[in-house]
Amino acid sequence: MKRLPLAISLPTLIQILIWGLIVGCIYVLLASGLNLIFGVMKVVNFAHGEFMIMGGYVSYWVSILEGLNPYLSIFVSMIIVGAVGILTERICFHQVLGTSKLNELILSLGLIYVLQNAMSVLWTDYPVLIDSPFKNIIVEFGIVRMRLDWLIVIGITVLVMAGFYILIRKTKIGRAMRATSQNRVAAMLMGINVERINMFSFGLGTALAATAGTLLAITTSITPYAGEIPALKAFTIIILGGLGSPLGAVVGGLAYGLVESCAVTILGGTWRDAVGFAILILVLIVRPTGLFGEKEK
Amino acid sequence: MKILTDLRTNVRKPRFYFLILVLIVLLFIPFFQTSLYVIHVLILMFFFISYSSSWNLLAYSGQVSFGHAAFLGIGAYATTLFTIQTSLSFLGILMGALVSALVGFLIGLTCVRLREWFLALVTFGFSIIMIALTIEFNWITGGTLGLVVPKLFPTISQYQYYFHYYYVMLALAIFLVFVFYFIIKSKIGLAFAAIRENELEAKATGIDVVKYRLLAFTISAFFTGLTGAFYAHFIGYINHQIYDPSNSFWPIIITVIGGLATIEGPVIGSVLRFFILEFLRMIEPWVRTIGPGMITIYPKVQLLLFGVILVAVIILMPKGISPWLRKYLMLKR
Repeated sequence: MKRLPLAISLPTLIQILIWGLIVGCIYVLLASGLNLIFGVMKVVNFAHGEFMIMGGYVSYWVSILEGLNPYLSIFVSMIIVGAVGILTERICFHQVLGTSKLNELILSLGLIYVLQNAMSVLWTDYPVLIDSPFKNIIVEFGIVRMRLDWLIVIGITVLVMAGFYILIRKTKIGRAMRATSQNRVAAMLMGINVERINMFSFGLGTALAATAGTLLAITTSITPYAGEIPALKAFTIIILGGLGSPLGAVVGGLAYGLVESCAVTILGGTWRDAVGFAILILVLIVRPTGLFGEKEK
Repeated sequence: MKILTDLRTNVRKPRFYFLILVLIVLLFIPFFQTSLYVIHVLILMFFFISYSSSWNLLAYSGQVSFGHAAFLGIGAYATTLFTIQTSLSFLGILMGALVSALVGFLIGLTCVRLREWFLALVTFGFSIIMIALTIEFNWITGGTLGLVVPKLFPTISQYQYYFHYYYVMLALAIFLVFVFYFIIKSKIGLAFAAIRENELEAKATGIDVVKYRLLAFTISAFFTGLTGAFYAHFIGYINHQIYDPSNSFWPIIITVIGGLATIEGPVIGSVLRFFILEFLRMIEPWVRTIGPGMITIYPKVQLLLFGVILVAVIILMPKGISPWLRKYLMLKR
């Protein structure tokens, strides 16, 4: 057995928490997008992580080829990946919508294979790191030391989530999306074009994933296969945070990032992926419908 | 004895003779085909038939597991550890299956009350947890270095070993297909099908849904563990990579392409996988002439193709190839 680091100094603890926060930000973006898609379309898309990685690669491409600042290339990436998302919704998910959950699951499994290997063909398997222009700048607040990039990542997440909130709460299309997620038939009867709402939500969800992917590629690095497990973790987050609850995705994402960061420090890197699923299984043993899940028939 | 009469009526059908013919061909392949590669690929095909059939048994009761590699790996590890300790290989194989069934029962206790995609998530998560456990308890499992599995027939050469193993895996595949046949023709299978089609109606008819789903989970884990035990003896070496998600996804791809919740689905899917991979291997020299980068790209293109096939099958023919094949080969009842 390896020795457990029982005594953690205060600066180390702060570093762990900050890293947890950064990872948490990426999970927040990923889980919010998934939550939106699940809320509106009731579709389970396990291939969401592949859209995240695609966002990272598109940003990488744009920032290398056009010399654009990687943080600005997020917008390009959001548009391109959102378009790919809409296309995927039209070609694939639209066809199986409402048949059975198993079809959706297996379809998203097929999409995982398609997207992963397509990205691998396009961008090879080598890990890719987006070179940030601020990578050598370190900011200090007292004992807290962090890279400027990390601050920007947190800032961008806050901005994007604020924009997302305004879009959902204050605009007409946001209201239509909320109506569709509450009651599809009633929304249709009220004159909402439900199919267009489906397309828009899927595009928006994948665009959020693209943001997450760019931030992931800036903070750590990405490979074509890195998206599979984060997507399933994001599902864990929205089950634990309450299906269809936007606040649950945010709080759950941050909490999950912190828990994962602590678990990696205490138990070691092999438990990075396992700890969240262990929590999920424990929670589902006690409550089979999820932590805040409503009782369904 | 409804099953036996059912079998007897099937004997007169042309598809029965077709089946016998295929079996005879399979039995005599090693005598004519002495290439080790072909035998190896065929053994893997039998492995995938057994593995997918075990997975399909669970899918037959309406539960789609995304982490069956966990049971495969548990069966493999249990049989290896038991065989290393006691050097009783055949008892070890049974032990692998039993341990896997026990774990399947325990995980099933959680899973049977869950909705489809919760269940997919939990089973997938379980296979990820197994990776961490295997690396963590490295004084038992060998960690990332893995374990060398004792051979099932220790005294013969590697060359002969393949030929012996060909018949072992063939027997296993036939056995599991027949197990699947007998289960779905029995009362238990009827209950599974009822639960799959409509859980609420099944409950109203007086079927104990939780009990039957748990039974499906345990049986499926048992046979997956059995397959895993034989697989471990075949490849001769196991490590944590046996729990890899791709190992969990292959039976899904195979069964869905072949036909979900049918007897012939896993068989058709595995044979098709075998032919597609062989075809792609055949055109590989031609593909390499396109450009130097093709050597690294080509394996990805193969998996990409399987992804596209899976998506196309789900969208265009959700029941898989099997109904289509039944219609055109006149093998329908």
